[in-house]
Amino acid sequence: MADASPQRVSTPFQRRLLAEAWRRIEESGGSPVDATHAELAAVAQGGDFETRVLNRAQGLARSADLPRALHGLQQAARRAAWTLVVAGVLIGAAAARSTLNPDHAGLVNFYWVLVALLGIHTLAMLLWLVSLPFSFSGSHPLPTPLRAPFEALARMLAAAVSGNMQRTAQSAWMAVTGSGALGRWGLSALLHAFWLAALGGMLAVTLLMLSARQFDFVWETTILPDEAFIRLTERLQDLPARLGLGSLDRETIVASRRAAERPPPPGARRGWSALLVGSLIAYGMVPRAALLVISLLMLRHSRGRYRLDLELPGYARLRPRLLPASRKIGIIDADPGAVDGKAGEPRAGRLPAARETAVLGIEIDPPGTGWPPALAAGAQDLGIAADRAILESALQRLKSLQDRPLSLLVVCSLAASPDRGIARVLRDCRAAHHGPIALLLTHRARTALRLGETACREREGDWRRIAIAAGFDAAHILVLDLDDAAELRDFLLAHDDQQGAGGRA
Amino acid sequence: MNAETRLRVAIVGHTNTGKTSLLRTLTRDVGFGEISARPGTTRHVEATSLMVGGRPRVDLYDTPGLEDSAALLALLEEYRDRGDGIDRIRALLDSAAARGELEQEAKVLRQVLASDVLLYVIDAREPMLGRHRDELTVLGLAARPLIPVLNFTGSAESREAAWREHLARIGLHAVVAFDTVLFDPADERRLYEAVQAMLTPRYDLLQQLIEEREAAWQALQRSAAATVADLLIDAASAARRVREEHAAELKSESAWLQERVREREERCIRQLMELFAFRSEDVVAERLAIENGRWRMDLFAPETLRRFGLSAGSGAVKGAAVGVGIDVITGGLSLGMAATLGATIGALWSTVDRFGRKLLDRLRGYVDLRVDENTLRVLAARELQLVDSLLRRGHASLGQVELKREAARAPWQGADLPVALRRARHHSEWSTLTAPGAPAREAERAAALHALQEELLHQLAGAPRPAA
Ligand SMILES: Nc1nc2c(ncn2[C@@H]2O[C@H](COP(=O)(O)OP(=O)(O)OP(=O)(O)O)[C@@H](O)[C@H]2O)c(=O)[nH]1
Ligand SMILES: [Mg+2]
Repeated sequence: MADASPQRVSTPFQRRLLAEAWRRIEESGGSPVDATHAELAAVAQGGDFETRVLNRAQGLARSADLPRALHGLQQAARRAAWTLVVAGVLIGAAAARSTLNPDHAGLVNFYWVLVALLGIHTLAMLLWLVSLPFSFSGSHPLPTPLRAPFEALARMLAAAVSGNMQRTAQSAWMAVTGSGALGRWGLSALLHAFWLAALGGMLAVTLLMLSARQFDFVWETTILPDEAFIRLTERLQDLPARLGLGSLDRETIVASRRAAERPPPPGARRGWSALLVGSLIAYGMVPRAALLVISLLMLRHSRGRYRLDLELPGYARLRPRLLPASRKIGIIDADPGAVDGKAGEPRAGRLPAARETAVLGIEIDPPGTGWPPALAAGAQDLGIAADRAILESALQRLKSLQDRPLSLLVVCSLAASPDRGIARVLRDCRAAHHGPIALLLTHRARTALRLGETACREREGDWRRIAIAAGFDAAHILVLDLDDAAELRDFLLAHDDQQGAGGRA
Repeated sequence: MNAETRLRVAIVGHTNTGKTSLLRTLTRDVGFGEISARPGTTRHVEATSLMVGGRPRVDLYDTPGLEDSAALLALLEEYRDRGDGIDRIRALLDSAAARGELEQEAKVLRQVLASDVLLYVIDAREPMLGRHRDELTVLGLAARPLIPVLNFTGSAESREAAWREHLARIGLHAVVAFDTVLFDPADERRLYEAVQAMLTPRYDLLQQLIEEREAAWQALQRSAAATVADLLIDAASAARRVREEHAAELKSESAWLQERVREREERCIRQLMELFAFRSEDVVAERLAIENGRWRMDLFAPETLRRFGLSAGSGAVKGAAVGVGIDVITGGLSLGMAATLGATIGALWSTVDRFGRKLLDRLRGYVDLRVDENTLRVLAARELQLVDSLLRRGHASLGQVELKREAARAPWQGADLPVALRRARHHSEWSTLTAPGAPAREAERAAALHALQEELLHQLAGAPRPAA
């Protein structure tokens, strides 16, 4: 048994039990080390989610002695069950031995013996039958008195294990085999096996005693009519008679009353003994054996039907890893490593010294404060270029104005991405105009709202970089929200002061 | 067509429109590529594949942004005599410019020619500009089915309607709105259906993809509800036995219990993040109190209850000693009542057993400390809120999920807790907080868990969906 290898864990039920044990171990905080490896393997093996969970558990198992612990538990449980059976035999034997005890007159009360041997058994069986429907309603698998031996057994098992892994294995094993349908039928099978063994023990001792000693069976009553006992006996032997055990005729029964007028006929001892043995078999062992078989079949059935509760958090969390929505392929067409320019220095820009100004908007909506912006009186409006054609014609117009002392103001939206397309547009503007050129970036508030302050500042830097690369003067790049009338007014006031100061200098 | 041929889908568009974001959301992979607000973030073609039937079947290609479509178009004009659109693109790919300034655009076009269908991603906040037309013209030359995908449609600045109109005027009608940050499974479905309509030979593959995604979505919701139910059962059934007279013991034990519940909630949040395949750092539960790097909203502050519209009443008896959120179960059943109860239902052994033990403890001066009902309501509300926001969170989201200040209404307010939770209160052995490794009555706990799960699913379905 010591060399229990993972391959032993082979039936679907055992595989599920193993997965359940892993779930408990992982939930209790001890995450196994090489889960990634087992998970990758499980994904590669494919199948539905449960299959993958089981494969993962199996994969984890190879590196730990959990399967060995589970296997050991199963062995221990089997040993315990056999112990119970042996105990049953002994108890049954002892019960029969103490019951078949002739009184001082050398007589044995048949019904007394029968009740002593079969009474508790019948009561226990009835209790089991009655509790069966309740055990389906999700409550305990069996009522406490019936469960008690099992729990004692569980405690014995728990005491036997040592180490964290073993303890978790044990609790998983108990949880799975001790609850639900598995618990119900497992416990029932154990119970019936115990009783069958006890009845077997009784039968053996009874037969032994009947062979080696002499008993005179009688029946007696104080207040009941004799007829009741005679009838009862006749009814009682209906069933054993089918087994060929029980052939007491009416005279023999009547004659077997304690202190009867006539002594019982010679065949009476055999007849009563046969009835006793027959009753033990027909009313004890046969129903118990039948129930045992049914329970074992049901146990097997419920083992086959046992499924992991995959919605429990311990399993559910594996879903994205075991059933990934996608698998990375990787980089197909790599970047040769283009050079990335440095962001320009952010600093407050200003408009070029006052002259006539031409204004050109690039890919913007007309600003809230009107178009062209009221930055320069009498500005030349080159329009807003939403596409290449408009831009071309605007640049044509700009070229035709080159004989005048003109400065160009290009208005872009900070919200737009400063990409190479825009960079080309800026270069084209620069190329089309010889005079001073300025870039105004509007929509700062909107951009900050979209991107957050940090990313917005980064974007400003990117715009400066491409503008400078296109030949703009860093000092002539300004950020000003044209949708914001107040900001525009403030800028103009400050600008006028600057211009005035500049003029005086 | 060979059933195993993979479908190749190229994601193209101007820079910064959210191409990489779209990929992350479609693949549920927060680690795919690089996303930033700066242009030109993606500089290579990177591929990933959607799993269908457990195998990679739909390849998605993330491409760099088309930045300089004007130059591209000008160059393609020069190759007018080279044949049809595809030939002209091939000619361009062979040119020097394709290795120089238009290197990234060339990458995109190479991938376009190697794909079955194009998803053209648009930032719906922008107006339709000349460059969009240029880009569509260039892509049109490749003669591949093209589906415009409007991103940022959850934004207040979205111009979805205008875009649809513009696109319709140039013959593009199968337009899909898909916000990659504000996820909506219905939009994802419409996206795949659009591809399905364009590529009839791959109808079955896409149908399978749609169905698997739908099933995964259902499973996700069910698992999330079960995860929350597990937390609630753990918290509801947690019980700590203390001696009534010992004020100090009462206090320290209740602090202990509060700490366990907080930890348990953190674990639940981690499990949920894992379940949804998000990073666990991506959640912040309020800034109320962040202690040594860990987020923390004090579940047990009276203010928390007030915010959820609950009053801190039930714990008030022992309030000073115990603090809000923990109940001391002193009575529950009086001596006389227990005796009569015990006598009447004497037949049921286990009942006697249970009450008997309680009775005995009561006589010895022990009481039970438990998490009170309102705290359970707050826990449920917070977790439901988290699940709700995770269900609507695209894997492209860069922001953190916040358990918001103005909390949704706590569930079961003014009504009894669900039966499953009330049952849990009588089963301290169900709690992994106070009875780890207790002799398991697994089936019972599981039955309660699943009943509560259904109830939570119900709550989730009924949750009002705030406008974006
Ligand atoms: N609010 C919001 N932001 C989004 C959405 N989609 C993308 N973003 C943001 O937009 C920016 C650009 O996203 P990316 O996915 O990097 O765009 P891309 O098209 O791949 O960009 P490049 O690779 O640079 O061409 C990032 O800051 C994203 O967070 C969306 O639907 N909503
Ligand atoms: Mg990208």
